[in-house]
Amino acid sequence: MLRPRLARRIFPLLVVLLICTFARAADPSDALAGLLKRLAGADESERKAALAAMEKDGDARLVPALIAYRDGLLAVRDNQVVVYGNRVEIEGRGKVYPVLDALTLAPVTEKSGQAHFEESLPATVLRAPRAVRTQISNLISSLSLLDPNPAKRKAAIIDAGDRADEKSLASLKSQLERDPGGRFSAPLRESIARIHLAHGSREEKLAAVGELGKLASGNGGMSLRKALEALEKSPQRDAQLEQAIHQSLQTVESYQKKIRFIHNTFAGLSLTSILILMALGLAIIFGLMGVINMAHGEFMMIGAFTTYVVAEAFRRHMPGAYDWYMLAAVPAAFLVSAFAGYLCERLIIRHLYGRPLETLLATWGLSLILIQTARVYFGDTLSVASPTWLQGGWEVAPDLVLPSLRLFIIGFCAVCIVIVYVVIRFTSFGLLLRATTQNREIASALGVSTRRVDGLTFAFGTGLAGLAGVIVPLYNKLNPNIGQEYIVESFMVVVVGGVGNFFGVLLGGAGLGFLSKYIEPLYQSFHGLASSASVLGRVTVLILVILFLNWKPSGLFPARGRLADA
Amino acid sequence: MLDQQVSPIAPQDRSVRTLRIITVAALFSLFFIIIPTLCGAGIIRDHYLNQLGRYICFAIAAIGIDLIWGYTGLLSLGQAFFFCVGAYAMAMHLALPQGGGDVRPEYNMIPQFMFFNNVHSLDHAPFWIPFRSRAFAISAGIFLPAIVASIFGFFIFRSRVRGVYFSIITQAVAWGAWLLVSRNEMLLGGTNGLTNFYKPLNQSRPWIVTLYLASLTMLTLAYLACRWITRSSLGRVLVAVRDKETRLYFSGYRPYRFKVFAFAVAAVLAAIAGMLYAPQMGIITPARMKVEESIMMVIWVALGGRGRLWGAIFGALLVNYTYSMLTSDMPSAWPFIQGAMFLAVVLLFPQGCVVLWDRIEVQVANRAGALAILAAAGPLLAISFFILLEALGLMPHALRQDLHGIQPKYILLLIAIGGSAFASWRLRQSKLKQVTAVALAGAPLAIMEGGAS
Repeated sequence: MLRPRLARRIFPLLVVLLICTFARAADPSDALAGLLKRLAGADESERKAALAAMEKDGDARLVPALIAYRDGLLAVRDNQVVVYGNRVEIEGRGKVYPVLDALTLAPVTEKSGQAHFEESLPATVLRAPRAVRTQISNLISSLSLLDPNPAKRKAAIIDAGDRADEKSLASLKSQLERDPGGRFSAPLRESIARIHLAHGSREEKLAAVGELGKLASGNGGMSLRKALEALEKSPQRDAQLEQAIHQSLQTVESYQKKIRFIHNTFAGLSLTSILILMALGLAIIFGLMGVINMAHGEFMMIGAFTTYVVAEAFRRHMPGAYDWYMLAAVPAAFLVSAFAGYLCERLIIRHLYGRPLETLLATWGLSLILIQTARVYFGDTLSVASPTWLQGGWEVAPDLVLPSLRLFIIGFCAVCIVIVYVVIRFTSFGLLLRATTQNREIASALGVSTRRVDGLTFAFGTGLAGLAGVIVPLYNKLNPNIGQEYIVESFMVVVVGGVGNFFGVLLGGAGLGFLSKYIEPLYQSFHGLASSASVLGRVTVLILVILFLNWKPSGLFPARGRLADA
Repeated sequence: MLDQQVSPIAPQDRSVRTLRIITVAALFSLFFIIIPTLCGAGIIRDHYLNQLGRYICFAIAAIGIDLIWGYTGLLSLGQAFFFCVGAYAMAMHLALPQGGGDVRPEYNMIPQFMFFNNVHSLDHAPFWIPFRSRAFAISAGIFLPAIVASIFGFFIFRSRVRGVYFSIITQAVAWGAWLLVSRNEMLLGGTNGLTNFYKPLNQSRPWIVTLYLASLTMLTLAYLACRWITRSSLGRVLVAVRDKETRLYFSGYRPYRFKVFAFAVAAVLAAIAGMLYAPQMGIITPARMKVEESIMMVIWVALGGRGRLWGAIFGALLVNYTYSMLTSDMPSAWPFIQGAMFLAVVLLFPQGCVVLWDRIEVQVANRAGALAILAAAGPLLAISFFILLEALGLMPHALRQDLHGIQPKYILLLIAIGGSAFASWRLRQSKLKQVTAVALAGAPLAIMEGGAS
């Protein structure tokens, strides 16, 4: 018999304890594991009950297990519910299935601590009976709507709209009510409106049309067009609804047009920045020595492979820091390319001054040798994984996602260009470089070691190409021919800009980059030309360049004075 | 520049003239009479004669390049494009039933690839229709490149684009054309090109010999025409354009006219070469149009010797046979050797192989002894002999055995060249060792010859 006061003191304690025990029992992952066990059990009524329970208070963590159950990849192994993952190739064992925990998706380990693999699916594997497969698919989509991973959740919300899935409507609405101004509100509103448009009453449809017009998203536009087609085909026409749809479609299309323009501008900007980075090195070398370096693209290739080697080293020796391999790759690529360029200047180019056409052939030969060397050592099929912070994008407005990769490329090139400008304009090396470019004899007479300046300049220019090599593998495959893809266009930039002029290169690069990205969509809008729009765009730019040269033969900023004719 | 490339020998020298006449007569009888006869007798396999015919086509294009680069100083990196214009014009005719193309009734008697591009009759590809006529195809192959080159040249040269600028722009144009022709929408077969011509063209002996002789005749005509151009006063103006364009301009000439002319002639020569090439090859693809191919054409001329027409011919044959040998014997080494060739020809012997011949003429003009002449002729003889054996498929089997990754024929070639170089060097020093030295150089040649017969 407890005294009341003590009882009063102890009671809350008990309650807390009780709650704690309950909370332990109700620890969600435990509950989910229990549900899964029931699902994987032999008893059929138990399975149905488990599914019903999942529908009531399931969680997105169940999704992989449910997908595996639907596709027949779920099994109970040593009293643990597991799923079999996508087959992977393992040396010595051929293609095998990795065995993963159904909830955490962590690999199931053997006693030795190594991940467990199996050659074939065991006979005990569970597959949902045909009757419940639809139910499970629905369950998967409604559970995904609450996925803790925001990207997946958003994809699921949009997917529900794509399928005009009425069953998800309640879930979507409740989510929107809970958080009307949150980050998911736009996709939620869009999907709700799309579902309404497909299945709702007339009033709901009208409201949905207005909503989609306000949102002006591309997906909404698709639904609107579909609804309009259906209306036009149906026996009872509804003039008011059609009118509303037309109006909304107009807003959607004008918004989408703006978005496309911004996208093209952005793509043009990133192409421009790479072209400028490549062309700057070419232009500096050409301006100083009158040398067309056909192997310039190959110095970029050297930079790209240096990046690959650095990234591989990071992946092997410190995988945790892989995201930051760029910090080491940038200086490494610059130095390696610059050193290769310096060697090449000392051994080959130095002996060919005053013979520009021969230099062109010699550097072409050099490029063949470099490409084949890279092919022999590295082969053709390599790639560099981007660091995780470059994946994804920055959503500026609905439907307007600027990929962070492009943003990074633009930023990187801008920084490089500024550094080049500073080096040329404000350092003593830059002073000597400009002096030698303007008048080699006088500079030499005043004590400038023009040979040394030549060597350093060549190294500087090729180093810049190496920097371009750091970013190109981020969005392109890495193969020994990688340099060849940019070389013709970089030459065009130099030719348009005028020889050895910093601002000429900037303008030329911007002109070519934007032109090709703006002309491409023009061809896309013609039927029959769309599939070769990119080629036609490049060819058109080429023709424009030739016409431009007919008007200004020495580019935008021609060299002036007595040297112009040399 | 000019002085280096003119032969150092007075052309009036009688023995030099005799030497030249003998050589030309020997080459003529070899290529026009002996080789076709041997082929007819079955000693030379058809395949080799076909290959020689194709390489002679390349030599025609090379003469054109020599005219614009060696004489006029315009380094065009787009000649492969003109080559392909001619080749495609001919190939379009050959792919149609009127040209003997291998077309099938189930494909409406039009080239098969069109069906994969949803074209079921020529009416949907109207530019193909006139190519039914052979005369149109041939005149298109000649006039189209001439017109394109004239228009392009007019715009480029009139605005005084020159030097490396010109090279880069021709390269870019060829690149653009390659991109376009590679597309299926152009209805030129896409990257697969045009093929399925009349089969016997490159398989039956009479056709092979005919096409070979046609190519050879065309080469001779092209050579004579260019020789006439370069020796006329027009040729002098071209050389002046190369050496001092500004001065020519101030002397009242309009250099761009001469440049356009030379450029158009070179384009037509390349196109004629292409027209003869397509039937002998049996297929033409846009890969022939690539920038790499154009630059390769330039290197033929550079290696053979710029500013000397026969140098271009020799270079084209030399490089192409080296290519065909090395890509079959050691495929991964070819790009290295190709690159090294570019570097070597530019850095080490910018005058090309014509120097080897000049050395012989110098010895002959100086009335040197037979041994000295033979030693001087060694390298050229060794190379020519080697190529000839390889070209005609007469290289003895023993020399083609694999010996630690390299075939004895290459070792012999190196020994022959090195030996004769050594011999001519020793000859200048003492008469005593003449015999040994020449024997040293001659031995590999003798082995090659002995194996051949």
